[in-house]
Amino acid sequence: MTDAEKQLLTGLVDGALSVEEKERAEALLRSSPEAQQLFAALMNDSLRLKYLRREQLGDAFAAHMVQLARREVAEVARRRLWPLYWRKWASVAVAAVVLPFIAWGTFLLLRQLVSPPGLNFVEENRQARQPEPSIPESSAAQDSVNPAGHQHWLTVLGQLEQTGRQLGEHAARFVEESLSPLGSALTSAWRDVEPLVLGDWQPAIPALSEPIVLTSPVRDIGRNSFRTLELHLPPLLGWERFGRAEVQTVLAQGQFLVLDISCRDGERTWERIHQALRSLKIPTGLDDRLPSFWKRRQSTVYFVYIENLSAEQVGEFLLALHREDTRPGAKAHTEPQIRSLLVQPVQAEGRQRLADLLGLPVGALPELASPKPPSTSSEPNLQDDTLRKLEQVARGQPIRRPITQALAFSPLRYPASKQIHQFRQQRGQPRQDAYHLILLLRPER
Amino acid sequence: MADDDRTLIARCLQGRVEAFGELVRRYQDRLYNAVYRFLGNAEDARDVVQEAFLSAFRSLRRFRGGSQFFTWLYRIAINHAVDCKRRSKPVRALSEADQDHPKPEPADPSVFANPDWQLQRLEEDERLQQALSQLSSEYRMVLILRDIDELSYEQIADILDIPLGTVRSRLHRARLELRRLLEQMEKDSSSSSVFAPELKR
Repeated sequence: MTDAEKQLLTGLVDGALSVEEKERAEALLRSSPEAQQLFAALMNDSLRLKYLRREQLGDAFAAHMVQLARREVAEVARRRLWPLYWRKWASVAVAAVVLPFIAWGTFLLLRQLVSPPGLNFVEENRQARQPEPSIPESSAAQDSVNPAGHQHWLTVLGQLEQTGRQLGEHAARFVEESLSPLGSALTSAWRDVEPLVLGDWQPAIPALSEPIVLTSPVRDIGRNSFRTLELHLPPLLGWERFGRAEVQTVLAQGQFLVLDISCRDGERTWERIHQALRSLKIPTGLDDRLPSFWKRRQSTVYFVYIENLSAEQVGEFLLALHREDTRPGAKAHTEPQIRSLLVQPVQAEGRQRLADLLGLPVGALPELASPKPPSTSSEPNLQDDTLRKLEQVARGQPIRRPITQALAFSPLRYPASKQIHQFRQQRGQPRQDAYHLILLLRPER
Repeated sequence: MADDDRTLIARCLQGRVEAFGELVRRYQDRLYNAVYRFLGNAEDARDVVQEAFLSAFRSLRRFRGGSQFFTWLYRIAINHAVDCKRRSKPVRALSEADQDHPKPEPADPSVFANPDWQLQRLEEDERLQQALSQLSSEYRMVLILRDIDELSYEQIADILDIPLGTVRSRLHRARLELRRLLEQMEKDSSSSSVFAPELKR
């Protein structure tokens, strides 16, 4: 096979081909067994990846993340406040450095006051005039030395003031120089941090000096502040009194439907579904993995896909299922198994999932259509059908008649079971005017 | 972007950390499974997811809403995972890693209640993980995003920041490479089982 052909096959696995490419890929699959084999293997690999075990982190992880986020917020708030603290503490630090110098200066001053240099000067004079000890010292002589002492005092004070100022300047410069790298580092660090949400951290609110009365003008009274929310819920149908009216409700939902069924026991519900399908002579396959689950008493969700039903057949099937399920019996296991049905049209995602599970390209499944009123006619749209067949003949494709068939299978299957292979081989292109049902069974046990 | 996500982000930006918790709860498992399959180690995956969420929280203001929130988140997580891969030791097998750490519960425990089924599934998972680990990071990531996370080509291109054509060609090569590795492993296991009885004797 060429690389281009392989690329077509991988593209088909991804469902990412144009219409033309898809046709080429399908033609390749019809003509080459090797291509079929590779496609099946690639599809299987993709499914295995899709259904790899999924792990869960649990609520504890989210709670832990919230805690971390709170811590982050607190940290950012702290960083944001740090420059303010820095300014406040820097002034305290400067004061702490300058105060000892001032204290020292004061001490010097006081010392000078206690022993003034004027007295020392008198003492020195007295010592110099030792040969005339008889002459008594007068107060006038003391007074005569005081002007010189005051002069000296002024000089000392001036010097002290100058020294104090210089010391203060030095101290301030020292503090500034030693702290400025820290300040700039903090500023740049802050610039790097994304201004974050402040989270649950709240700044202190200053106390109000006077009570303030807040008033609000009445403006919006006339406006209707209530909006109506419209919810369109899928119909949930009770099973006890399931009848024709309920069948009509089902048919009105669309032609490609999911019937989400909650039931008691998976195996017993399947027995009843199987009986109902048999009464309509619809060929039925059962994925052999399901009985093994049931044998082990293992509760598992499973699907039953029924393709190409007419509106009458849908009605007959549902009523037959109801009959089978509610048939009175003496034993406990004959009690009704089904509890309720939730009916929804199949969405794009569901269609893709079904294609994955059956190992089919999405295009091979019925198209999604908008809901339409129930049709009572079982006649197919002949014009559309004929046109489609003619197109197939023109493309050289064999015409495969769509058949009505059902398949029960587990969503955990891989690789594809024998029954799924058989289902794929037997089926033709689905009829666009027919009904297709996916029964999604959710047993309690 | 989903309206719910937008509302939660707005609340988060108003300072309500609980809204961030809701975002985490919404995407944690998807993200964790993708990273777990990429790294092949539960502990590293948990750390990477935690780092990714924190980085997202730090730069939430920078998120403009041009892309979906979860693709943005994925991009962050992938960058962290690639970094982690670069600096981490060689990958241990999953079984070995799981012995050290309790295994998280599967999504639906009832499905795996049977021991045979559980064992079979674990073996298959392990074989697939081994094959994934042998792929190059580019191929592994693109396969995880497409098949495990079921993302569209556009979303993958957005997350990995590569053109759509590259996504397609990478996926093509990754699928063929994975097939080759799985075939090789099946061949190896069948040849080893042939000799198993002799070894027992």
